[in-house]
Amino acid sequence: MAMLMMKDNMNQLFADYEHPAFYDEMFEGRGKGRVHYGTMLQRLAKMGLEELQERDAMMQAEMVTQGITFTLYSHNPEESARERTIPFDILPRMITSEEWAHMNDGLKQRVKALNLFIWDIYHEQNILKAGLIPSEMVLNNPYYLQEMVGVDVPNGNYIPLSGIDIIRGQSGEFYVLEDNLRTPSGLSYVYKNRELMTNLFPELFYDHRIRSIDPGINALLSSLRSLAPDSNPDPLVVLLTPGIYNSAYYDHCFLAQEMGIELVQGSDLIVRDQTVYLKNRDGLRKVDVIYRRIDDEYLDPQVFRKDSLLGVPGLMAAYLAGNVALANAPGTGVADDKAVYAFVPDMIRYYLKEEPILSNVPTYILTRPHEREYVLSRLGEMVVKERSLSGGYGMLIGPTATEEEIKAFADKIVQHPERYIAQPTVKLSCSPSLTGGTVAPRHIDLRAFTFMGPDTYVVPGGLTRVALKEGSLVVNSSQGGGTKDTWVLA
Amino acid sequence: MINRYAELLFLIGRCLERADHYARVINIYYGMRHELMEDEQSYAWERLAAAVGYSHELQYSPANEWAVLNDLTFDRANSDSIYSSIQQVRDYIRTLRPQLPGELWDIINTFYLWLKEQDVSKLMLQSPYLFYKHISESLALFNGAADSTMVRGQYWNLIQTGKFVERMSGTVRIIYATYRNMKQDERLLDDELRYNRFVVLLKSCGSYEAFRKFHAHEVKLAQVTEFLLLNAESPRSVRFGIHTLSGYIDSNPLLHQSIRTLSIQTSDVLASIRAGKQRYGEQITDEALTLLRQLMLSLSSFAFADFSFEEEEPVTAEV
Repeated sequence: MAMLMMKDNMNQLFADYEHPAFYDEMFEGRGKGRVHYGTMLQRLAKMGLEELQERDAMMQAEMVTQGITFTLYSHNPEESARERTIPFDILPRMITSEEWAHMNDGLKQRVKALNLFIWDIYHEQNILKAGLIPSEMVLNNPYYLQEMVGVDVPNGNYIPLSGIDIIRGQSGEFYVLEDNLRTPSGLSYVYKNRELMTNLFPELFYDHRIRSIDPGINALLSSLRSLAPDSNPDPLVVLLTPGIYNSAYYDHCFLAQEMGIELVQGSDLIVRDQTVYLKNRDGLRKVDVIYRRIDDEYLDPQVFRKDSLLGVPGLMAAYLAGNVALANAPGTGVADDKAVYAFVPDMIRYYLKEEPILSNVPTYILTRPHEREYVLSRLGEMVVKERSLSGGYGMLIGPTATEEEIKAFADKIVQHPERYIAQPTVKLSCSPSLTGGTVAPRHIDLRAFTFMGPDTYVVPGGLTRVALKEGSLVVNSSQGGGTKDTWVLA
Repeated sequence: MINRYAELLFLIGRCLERADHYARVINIYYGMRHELMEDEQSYAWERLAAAVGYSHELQYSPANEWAVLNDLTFDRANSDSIYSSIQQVRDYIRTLRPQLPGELWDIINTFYLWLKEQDVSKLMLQSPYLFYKHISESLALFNGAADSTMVRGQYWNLIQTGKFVERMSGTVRIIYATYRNMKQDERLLDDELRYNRFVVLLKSCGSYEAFRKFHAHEVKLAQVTEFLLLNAESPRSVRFGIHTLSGYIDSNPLLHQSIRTLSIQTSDVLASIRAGKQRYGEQITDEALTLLRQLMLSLSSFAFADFSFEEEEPVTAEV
């Protein structure tokens, strides 16, 4: 009898749930939950839609009060500087411990190879000499910084913090979609999502054993401290932010607070005798490590953009003199270029003599004539990305684009094939989302955060991003994507 | 503490106190309209604006209720309006968020999000009294949370410094405005009207009930002035503010000199009023007004004092 009731409730909650034509994280088939979601499905069914909506409303209110927001950039002054909460989807996503073990190994391997690649291209350039990667793709890349050539960064560590985007394809296998090696954002949401979920759904947490993410903050702090010049045992670490109007200010604020480091702006720092100091009320304090959340080009107006008010004049000189560490190092952007991405599996084989654990999505290099012809002939099935852009800007998604959009992109590709790459449209997996008052399948991906230091640590889970618009494949928060709490089962 | 923070903390204190002062004064003035004489009513709104030192051209002329309430409460372009003050506090606390107790952000943000959606028509609908009372209560909530959670150190001291500087300015400004008006209207004022004005003044300074405990029914010029300027125990008196300030300002010889000047000027105002009492009774003299004005100016220059350290100081690298 009880079982029957449950079934009814379950049917109510997922009554209109249309099983997607994609891999579904929660259901194997129509009405058939995956084994590891079993307990959660029962709980959710017991709660029912109404209760879920109530808790959802509480969650949204709490996010507004706490100011867990980001700012959308806009040319309209009324629109810009308006803070929004990132849409939060309260139905968690689960990853089994086997799946995680695989991803964890794959991520560590990938980040290790990427770091060796960055060292190589700024030193001996062996991989270019070996002809594995076209030299001009690296050396003519706007993110390749001449200033970094021959520079030895602390511990040879270019990317203490990276965010690797992973997707799951139709048959359930994982692929890396993108590497973010400059200043990846979103880590704070991983922690806030977990905190809000534990407060609002304690019963779900009693039912499961979930890998803790708490050591991550400590691991990041250790990574940062390990970079301090002269192995200073008690370094002054600061987080350099563009300020409260930056879209990711909440992220900066949260991380500074959690790690107990100073949150500073460019104007708080001053360089004297190639040493960076923090302007403190009772004098100047020497800064050892800067976790910077501003882009390379704004770091130092004496070296890069002269109009930068966000940076610190003389910072690069201090950095090159080895008196201060920057995380991540300048010039790492060349390795997360969308065309260089296509060569990461080769990097892994070349530097580590291993086979890649995580696969890439097939990527077409459009400067190669036959690949370009192939892509142009079936643009309607492709995703085209501008190499140097991130955040979901400058993209064509063939299957959902209009004839005109496809035509316009075809012209752009013919004119500047070197600016774009193309990939077959990946059938991102789906997960049930509470959206628009009902539960429906939505596409998701995963941004995994990796901290490289004396040990390399991957935050268990990471940030699951949800494309909340029905059928949409774009998960970026700047394009209206949401997030989910992500559980790795112990 | 990072140097830049000093100014932000000082401004947090000032903006909070200003919003509190505006809300109280508007509520008091709004509530006393019906007690005004007929020819006073025509310029009641100008008087309210003058009482809080709002010197800009009023947006609508002649000043009317809607325009004044809007300018003082909601006007985005008036950097002193209640909205602007709270918006600034929120921005500063957002900047300082990692350094301050978490409660403070939640309180000010909730308050700001509510205030952002308000306007004069909504205010009229729900009764101005309740609206301004809600503002005072939200600020009291913030101050209470700060009082019970903040470490007593530089951060606290700077917020308090800003708060007391603003409080003293507000008090002297409203005494000056009230006395100047009383002098203008001298011939029209009988004892009852004079009494009413003193009561409004005391209430506007949040000092009415406390005044009774010290001076009972002696609602007279010298007593009121003495209480607002020099009472040692009222947290709203200028003397109390000066005393608090000198405790919070660390070794800055310039600021200590300014504080001594304030102290002398404050005593001078009362001395002048007491001296004039023999000859002029309850009448306000030009000399007293001039002295009040000087005190007001000293306080406003104090508000721009620099609390940060000079950048050119020698490097004191960490040991």
